[in-house]
Amino acid sequence: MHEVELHNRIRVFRAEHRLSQSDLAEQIGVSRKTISTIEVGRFVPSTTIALLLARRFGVPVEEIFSLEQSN
Amino acid sequence: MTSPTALAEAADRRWHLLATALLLIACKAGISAAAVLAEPPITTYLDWAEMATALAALAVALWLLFFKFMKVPAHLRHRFLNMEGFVASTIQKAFKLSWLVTFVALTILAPASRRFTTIPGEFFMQSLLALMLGVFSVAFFLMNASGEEDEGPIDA
Repeated sequence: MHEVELHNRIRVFRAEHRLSQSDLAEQIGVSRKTISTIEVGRFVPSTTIALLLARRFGVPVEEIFSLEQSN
Repeated sequence: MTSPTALAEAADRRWHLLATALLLIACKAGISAAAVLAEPPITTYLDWAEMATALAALAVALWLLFFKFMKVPAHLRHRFLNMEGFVASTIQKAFKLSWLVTFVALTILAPASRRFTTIPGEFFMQSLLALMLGVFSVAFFLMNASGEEDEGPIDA
């Protein structure tokens, strides 16, 4: 059975926008821990947080989050 | 406390304080259960320990209510109480685990309480309360302890 994992490119976008986790947290109104745990895949964000991230980086949600197959 | 992040960080701290208060109540219930079976002079020490943990739990609860909740502006309280994030999600997981463990313990303790009729029912009640709240708060702290990560590089 194939399982899917949620991957994200927040670290890449953060680097492009030269933002620290605290800066990003401040701008979308969540705690820094929420950002750090999303980045490492420990926390799957709600639709609201995903959309806030996409809006902040000015890209569609699919460019930040993607599903990848894992065996 | 009007910045969104300050509100989010405060919401996270609120959950930590709640878990701390519940851990203290779990300790109080555990001591209370032990006091049911203990004999003097141990019971005297347990009574003091129970009172100390009860006062500590009350202090944390009052701190939570007055200094963490009351200082949030009224128009932000609804948002404060429904703040999303990693810590809010771990509190839900800890509640689920606590409920599961309590349910299993109930199925074991119910027949045990009928078998050991010399043990007062209060012992089983206090033990169950200690287990329920203890599992919740310990699970919450463990899940959060392993959730802290370094900020990482920001260079492109």
